Amino acid sequence: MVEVNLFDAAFIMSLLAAMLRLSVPIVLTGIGEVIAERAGVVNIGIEGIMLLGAFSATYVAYFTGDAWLGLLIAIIVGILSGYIHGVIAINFKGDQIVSGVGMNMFAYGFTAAWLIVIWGEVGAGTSPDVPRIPQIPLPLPGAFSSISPFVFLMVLTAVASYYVLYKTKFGLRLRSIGENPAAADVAGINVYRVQFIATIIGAVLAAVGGAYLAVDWNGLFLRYMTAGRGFIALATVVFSNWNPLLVLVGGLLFGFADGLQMRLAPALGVGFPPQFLQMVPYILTLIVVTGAIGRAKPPAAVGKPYEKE
Amino acid sequence: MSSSLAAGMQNIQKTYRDGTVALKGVDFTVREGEIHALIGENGAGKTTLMKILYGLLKPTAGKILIRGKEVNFRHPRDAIKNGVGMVQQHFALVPDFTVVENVVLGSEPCKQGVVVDYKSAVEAIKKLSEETGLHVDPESQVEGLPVGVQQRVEILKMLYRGAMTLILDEPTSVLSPIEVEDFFKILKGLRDKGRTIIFVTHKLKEALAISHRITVMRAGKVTGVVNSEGSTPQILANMMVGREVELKLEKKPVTIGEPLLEVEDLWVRSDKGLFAVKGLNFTVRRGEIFGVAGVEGNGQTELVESLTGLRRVEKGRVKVNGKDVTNAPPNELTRVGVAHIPEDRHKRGLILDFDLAENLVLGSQSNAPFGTRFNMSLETIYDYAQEAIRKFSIVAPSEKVRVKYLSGGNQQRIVVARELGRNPDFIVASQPTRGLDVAATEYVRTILLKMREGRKAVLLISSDLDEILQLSDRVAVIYEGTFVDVRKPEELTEEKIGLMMGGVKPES
Amino acid sequence: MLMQSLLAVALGFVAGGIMVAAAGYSPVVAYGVLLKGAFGDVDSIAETLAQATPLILTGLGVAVAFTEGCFNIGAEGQLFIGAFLAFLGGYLIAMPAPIHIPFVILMAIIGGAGWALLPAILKVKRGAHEVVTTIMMNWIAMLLTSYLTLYHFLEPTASIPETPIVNSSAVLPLIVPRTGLSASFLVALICVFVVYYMLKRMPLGYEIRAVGLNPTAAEYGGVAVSKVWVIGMLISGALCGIGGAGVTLGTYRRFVDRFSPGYGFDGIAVALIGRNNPIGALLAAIFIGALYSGAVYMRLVTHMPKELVMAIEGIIIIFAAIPEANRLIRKAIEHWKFWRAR
Repeated sequence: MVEVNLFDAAFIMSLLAAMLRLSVPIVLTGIGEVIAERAGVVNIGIEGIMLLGAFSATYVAYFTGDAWLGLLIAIIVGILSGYIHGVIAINFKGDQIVSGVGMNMFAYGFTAAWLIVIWGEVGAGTSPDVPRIPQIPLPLPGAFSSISPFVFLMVLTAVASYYVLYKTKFGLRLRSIGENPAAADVAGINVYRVQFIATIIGAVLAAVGGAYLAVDWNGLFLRYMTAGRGFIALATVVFSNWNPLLVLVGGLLFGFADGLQMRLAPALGVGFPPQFLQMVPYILTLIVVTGAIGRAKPPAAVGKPYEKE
Repeated sequence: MSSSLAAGMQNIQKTYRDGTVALKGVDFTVREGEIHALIGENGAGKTTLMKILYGLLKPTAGKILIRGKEVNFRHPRDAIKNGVGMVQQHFALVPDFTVVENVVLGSEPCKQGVVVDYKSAVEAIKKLSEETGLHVDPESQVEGLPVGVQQRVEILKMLYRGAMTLILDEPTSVLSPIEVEDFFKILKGLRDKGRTIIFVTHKLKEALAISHRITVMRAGKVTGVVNSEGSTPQILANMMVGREVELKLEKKPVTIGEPLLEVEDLWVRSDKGLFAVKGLNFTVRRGEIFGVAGVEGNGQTELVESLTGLRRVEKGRVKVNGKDVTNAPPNELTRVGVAHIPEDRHKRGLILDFDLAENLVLGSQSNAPFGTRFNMSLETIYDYAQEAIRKFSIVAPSEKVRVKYLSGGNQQRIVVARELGRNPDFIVASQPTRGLDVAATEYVRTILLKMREGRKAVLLISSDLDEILQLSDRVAVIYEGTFVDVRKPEELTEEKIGLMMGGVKPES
Repeated sequence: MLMQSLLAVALGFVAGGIMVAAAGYSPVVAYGVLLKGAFGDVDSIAETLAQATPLILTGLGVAVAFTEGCFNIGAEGQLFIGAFLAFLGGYLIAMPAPIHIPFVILMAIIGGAGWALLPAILKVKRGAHEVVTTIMMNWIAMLLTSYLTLYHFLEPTASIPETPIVNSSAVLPLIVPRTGLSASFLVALICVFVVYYMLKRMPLGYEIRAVGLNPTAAEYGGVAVSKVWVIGMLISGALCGIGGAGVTLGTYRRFVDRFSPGYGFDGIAVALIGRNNPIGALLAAIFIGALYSGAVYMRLVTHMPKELVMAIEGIIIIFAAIPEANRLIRKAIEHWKFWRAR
């Protein structure tokens, strides 16, 4: 049995560093979905969009040698995906959930297939290594000797989103649409346009969250690499009561649990099944979603296509 | 009061895409600085006319002039720019937001064009509150506010945007009598500060109390414009309600039997939490049609829902055939012999995507002879449907057609066929001929009379006065949750009913 | 309605063709090989039907859920639990075959339905949206069965994590030797007819349809809406559970960790393409089964991996989301209002 002193400084440091790393994709995607849902549009397809972002970033980074370019392309992929979902949900007033499920399936299939098309049967469903986003060096020891710029991006996005949603004109109007689109319409707000913008922003953030997985954290693309993080992001949306700052908190919590689970498993001995710890995020989500921890109130008109009289 | 016009509407017509004509050439003028009441029954067209003035609807024809200048409103934004604001019956408020957020939505004061300057907004609201007497706490959340206060927020919204002409649609429907007093004081104050007010209502006394002039509408046209001074509720009622009575249906004398429905001290809440039915007491006997007239929104819907198992009875008792069925669920009521023709057949009465036969057995699908708990005898069901088509003169290609493809009249026949096919003792008919053509209307009314002759009891709720007068043995007029009076139809004139519908109990 | 499905499928194929071309192969050749691989000879057809079998069941399950207005994305999890319980029933207990087989199927039904029960109750009592809850249940099911396989029922000689074989009395025999087609296909066919009968001729089916189309009118018509809704979910879960049992008892004769390549999600595609109709689901399942089985051959010739089929399915589903606008909105709003009022 591996002896681990839980209060060992190095252990805590590595745990905290892991927490930050693991929470980035969840927080970014979650904030994006908060923005979309606050405007009344549900996008379950964020899991798939994350995957598409990851794949496109890997692809471009591999062939151009530039991870930043990969990130840029991921953003464009996000815009396209958001646009499609927007057209279906807003213009065609289609079923938002079915569209999201379809997008997930497409992403799973397409990325897994194209992985092989481009790189052949490399390893256990992985791409070759690709260039990574350079980390920022810190004058700190051990696990914190460097940190990903995405961590800063994550915090910045949380704070900025909060500020925009609650302090600016744009945010007020966006929130009004999610609560009572008819009232927003009468007040002269262009409901469809704002919903579209919110959907695209949500998709872009998801794509960036996915890109992070590929060209920052792991440095490669792994088949199905999002592993349900998009759905955990959906859970953090509920957990946060549709508040971007609380998405940050929720994401960090999930990241912490995830990191703990990874480190604890070897610590508790080979015999201890990792599956139970792996289950924790999902069980936590269930508890959150059923309002066992206080009743979360979604935007009143979320998921309902708006019909002008 | 000046003689210049705040607003003028000339020959306004409105025909909807499905052919319904809501306004048939209406002329409407409001003088600056006056309080002008616009009265009429349901369906008279008052709200439609005002929605056009506010830019929510576009007229099919006609002109609108604001202060003598012709305008073309494409959206309420345009109306507001021209100083016209409207507070609708259903508030356009975001419950989750605070008062100040609601007031500024869409016209936010901004620092550097991005950040909302709530401080200055709160200041502005407080100032307006001082000026007008519309007191609210700007930081409070709208959801928790009583409806009367929410209304103040709506008005402030308009004033904040500089509205000089205010349209208020049935504003006192959400106020208690004491609040109405205060509300009138505020309106007078607004007028003194130079604003013009259009007050849409069906309440005659209020119209007379607060306004300078009154425009009366009926069936899409203006029937008269009078000065309040020198006018009486009787005169208004006549203008509001008088119409040619249609073919009189044959009503045979029937001996009235024992009580079938007994309602004691019934109290029912509306969705908003206030009491919509306030202590009703009445009895309906065998062989009797008991008609309830009144403008919509005075508790009829809640009354019907409480009698058909769809809404909670807070206080009081309901007995059918002597049995206490207060708060019984729909299927138990069916068993006791209660049938319901709902006022919204698309929402409550039918499943549009089901076929004719399937709709006919809704509620009886696992009962004999249509089936058992585990099996439906489709043959019996479809045979029954064919019978019903014949018996109830339903025009449909077959019993397998999906009900959504049938006309309103035929859809209603299906509802009637289903409800009456169960051989009920007591029928609640809620706006049973709404939206139906003449033939279907005739048909439904004849059926109700047949029920009466068969010594069943019928509770008829309708905003169609002809219907009430022709069919009922006794007529009650409901106003704000109670019966103003219960009379025999012979004793009633249109004027008297108009009065009662407006809340006034006639002398004789 | 049929037109819409065909249109979505056609568009999916076009998109697939574009993807194949982008990878440098001829779509015509690729699709040709796919078709031949799916239907070329008896063995191929058997393989196609074998691939279709679990899809028929998950498709039926999702279709029943859709019929009552519910999104059962949890088909995958219900499939896993049903499969594992069927394994337990077949491994731990010995009975004569004629009793054993119905017994293990019953275990699968209990497993699948039981797994659907929690999300159903959470929705009805707490208003928790079934999409998120069922997806979480999927992951929990996968991890739980993984754990049980690895730590309690591991076949020591196996190269991949799987359990030992079940008792031979519980095995669903092969119909066509040397293929994957087992009697589970017959079980699936039986289920198609059972569901058809239920929806068309049983009051329960009538009520499920009513609740899905207009819960307000249904309630008014005396239908116990919440109860019917939960029962519908249980039936949905049970069908998916049977799907899992079919694979476990027929194809592998044991429980294999993570054996499902996404049968639950394919079920969603099947239900959508089949327009929630049991016979439609059968045809759609065979269609998708053909895609998967033919994809193996397509891979040999064009090197396009079979995951391409998933991508095509995804596109079909996206197109299926575009509605006859009015109908869908009105329904969605009605449902929303109804559940919100609780």
